[in-house]
Amino acid sequence: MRCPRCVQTIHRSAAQCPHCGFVLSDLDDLYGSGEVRLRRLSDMAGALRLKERQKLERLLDEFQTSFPQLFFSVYYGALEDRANIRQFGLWLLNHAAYEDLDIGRPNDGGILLLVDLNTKVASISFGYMLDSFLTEENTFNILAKAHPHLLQGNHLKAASVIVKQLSRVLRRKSRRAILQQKVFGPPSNQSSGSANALERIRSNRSAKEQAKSKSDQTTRAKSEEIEP
Amino acid sequence: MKLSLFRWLLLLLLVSDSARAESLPQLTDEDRARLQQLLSKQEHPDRSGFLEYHAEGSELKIRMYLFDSKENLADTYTIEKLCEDQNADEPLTAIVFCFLGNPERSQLAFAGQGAAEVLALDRRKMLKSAIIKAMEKSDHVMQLEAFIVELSISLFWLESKRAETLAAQAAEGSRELAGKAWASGNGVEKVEVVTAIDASGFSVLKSHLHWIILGFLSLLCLITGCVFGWLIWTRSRRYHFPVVETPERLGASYAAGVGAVIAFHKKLGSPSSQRNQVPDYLKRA
Repeated sequence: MRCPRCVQTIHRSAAQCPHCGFVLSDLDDLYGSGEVRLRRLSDMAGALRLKERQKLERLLDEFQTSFPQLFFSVYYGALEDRANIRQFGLWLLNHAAYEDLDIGRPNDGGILLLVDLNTKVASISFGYMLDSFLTEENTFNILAKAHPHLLQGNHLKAASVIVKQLSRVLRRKSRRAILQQKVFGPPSNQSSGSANALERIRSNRSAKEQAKSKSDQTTRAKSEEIEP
Repeated sequence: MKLSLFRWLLLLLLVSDSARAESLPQLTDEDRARLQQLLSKQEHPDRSGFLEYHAEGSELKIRMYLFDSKENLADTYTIEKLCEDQNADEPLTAIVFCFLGNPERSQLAFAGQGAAEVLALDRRKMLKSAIIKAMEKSDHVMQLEAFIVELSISLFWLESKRAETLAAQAAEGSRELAGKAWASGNGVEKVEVVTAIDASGFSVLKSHLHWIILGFLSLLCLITGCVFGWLIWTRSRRYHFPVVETPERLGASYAAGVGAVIAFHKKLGSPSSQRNQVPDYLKRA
């Protein structure tokens, strides 16, 4: 994984970037800390016409039908700083409240295509659910397929190519994941990282301590009852 | 009359079917051989054997009259007259006058039922091709052999052509019959079965053409159905991902997956040149 600010490789469970110290709260100062109300297709820069928007909406619906846990959102904007597109994408996916999505699809399963028409840069961000299934190389190959259409300014075609390519990659990954799950069994929570393991140990310890203190209290009470 | 004719013009007679024996009962094979000895004892059965072989496999028989090369025929006795007088009631037969050692003088005519349907152009072509084949040989007997073989081949094609015509006529007849039955609405009590001899495989294919088309269409429908079924199945299929608890990264509660970034502000900046994305401060100025 890469840090969205310094683009250095970081650990999957890093609480902050070890190179530049980046955390998401840094962006809250820049873009705000509240929720952002959005639709799946947000064309702030006016890149698409009405008919094109309708077509893209249908394509997004098809994507959601095929992948019941996921959703795909597209944001056309005009940012000022080219280097910030990764950070803005990350921030937007964490703060967005999608109006046209049901509650059953949290932002964990979201994929955001961010197209900056000002600096002419496009990026893909995705939620935690796809962390194990999508790599940077996957997303780069998908964007590279849409590059000629982006150059021509055909944003509908570019978006549809991205959605289709991404669907193809995700279908393959899903089949493989389900197969692996059948062979090796469902993923256990123990393998979910050192932070969770530490938390579990702490919680176990606290439960034992609580039980011990409870038993101490009862023995004390009993002894007090006997003493008078 | 026949004997007088044979005295000066008929040298040897080769007959390809038994009808010939009935028309000349007074001459035996020995008599013929005695009258003229144009062919040797071995050559005579060889040639007549080929004619019999042809007669076995073909409806169109050959009747050959063999003369010496310089033999002069009487004006009153022509091949056309022979066809009219003797062979009018017989099945279609090819009458050939051959002059041994002089194939260019050969004559060909058709006698019997359906002789008028054979075009003069076809007859001339057949005779010409047989003469050309015969002229390729130097030996008289070999010329005769080549002539007969070529004529037999030509007659085979003529027979095939006649069979195709007959088949077409039969098909037309059956169509007319069916049309009449359909128009009357009473049906046909007795169906006339018109048999046609068709040697070519094309007509067999033609007769089964509707089955072939039906099979092909069924196959096409099956393939189209399979493709549509597969497309519908693919579209209706749902893909799920196993839910794995991932620790929060960089303080983000929903997403910290930063994918690739691609720039499209200049046409020369190909995607491959942007593959290795490095921090800005590592790039050269």
